[in-house]
Amino acid sequence: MKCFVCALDRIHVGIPAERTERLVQSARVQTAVYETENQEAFISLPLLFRQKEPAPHGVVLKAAPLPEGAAGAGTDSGLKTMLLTPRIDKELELPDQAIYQLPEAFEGPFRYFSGACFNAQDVIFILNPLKLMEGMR
Amino acid sequence: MTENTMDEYLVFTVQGKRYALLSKIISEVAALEKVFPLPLVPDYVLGMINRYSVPYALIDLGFLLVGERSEARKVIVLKEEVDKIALLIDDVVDIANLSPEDLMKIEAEESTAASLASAFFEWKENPVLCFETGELISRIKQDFGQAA
Repeated sequence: MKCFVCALDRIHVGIPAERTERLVQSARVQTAVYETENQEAFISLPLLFRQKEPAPHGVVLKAAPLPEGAAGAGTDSGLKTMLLTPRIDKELELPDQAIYQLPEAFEGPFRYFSGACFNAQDVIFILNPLKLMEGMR
Repeated sequence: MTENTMDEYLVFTVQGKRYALLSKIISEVAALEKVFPLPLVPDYVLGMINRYSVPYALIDLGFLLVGERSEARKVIVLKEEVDKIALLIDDVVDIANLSPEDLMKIEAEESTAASLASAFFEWKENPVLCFETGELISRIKQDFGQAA
């Protein structure tokens, strides 16, 4: 799985490339984890972890289908979602079999990760963008 | 009483006190190696450790139970199917084979330790609290929610 990786506080976050449309520079200043503007949604990764570090990169996520039961379920939510992140340091190809689910006891923002992978001297938490977008709506 | 009804417990120490866990839920006891710190976690979660590439949450039992940081360097690693949790302990003391009759229920939850324990027993003239892993995992989940 190809991931875009950024450092956040004491961890590294991997954003699956298959769930992204493109990376852009961002100068957006955000005060809440989730904000919307002109049919666009913005999720701040640093604020999700209560960090004040800048988020100079924007990762445009692929659209998430509306959840079951919602009007128009299964269709695109209509909102373009941009994940605001600290500087994307690198792209890594992480083998699927090296990604393991987190302990079930992990709650809070950790519920938005599909797993973690030990890579050299780091642990990389793999973001689940669909779950994050659903959780923020 | 036949041997079949006996359960094996691992007896260990944390901050000088004795506790026990059912051996069948334990994967291994290992030396503590590198800890990967985590943000937004309860104070007693020291971070993650790497057990054969699987991420385990490292719990400082001493801090959870009595609010004191532990200098311990050994971990009890629970079986993955229980949850990916490793417990920092001082040392392993013994293996106790007990029948259900040897266990005494805890009626009042007078302390954090007692609230996480299901029973206690006397072992070599020492009281030993038996941890209830379900309670422990629920407590960690609840505290994670509050820390975030």
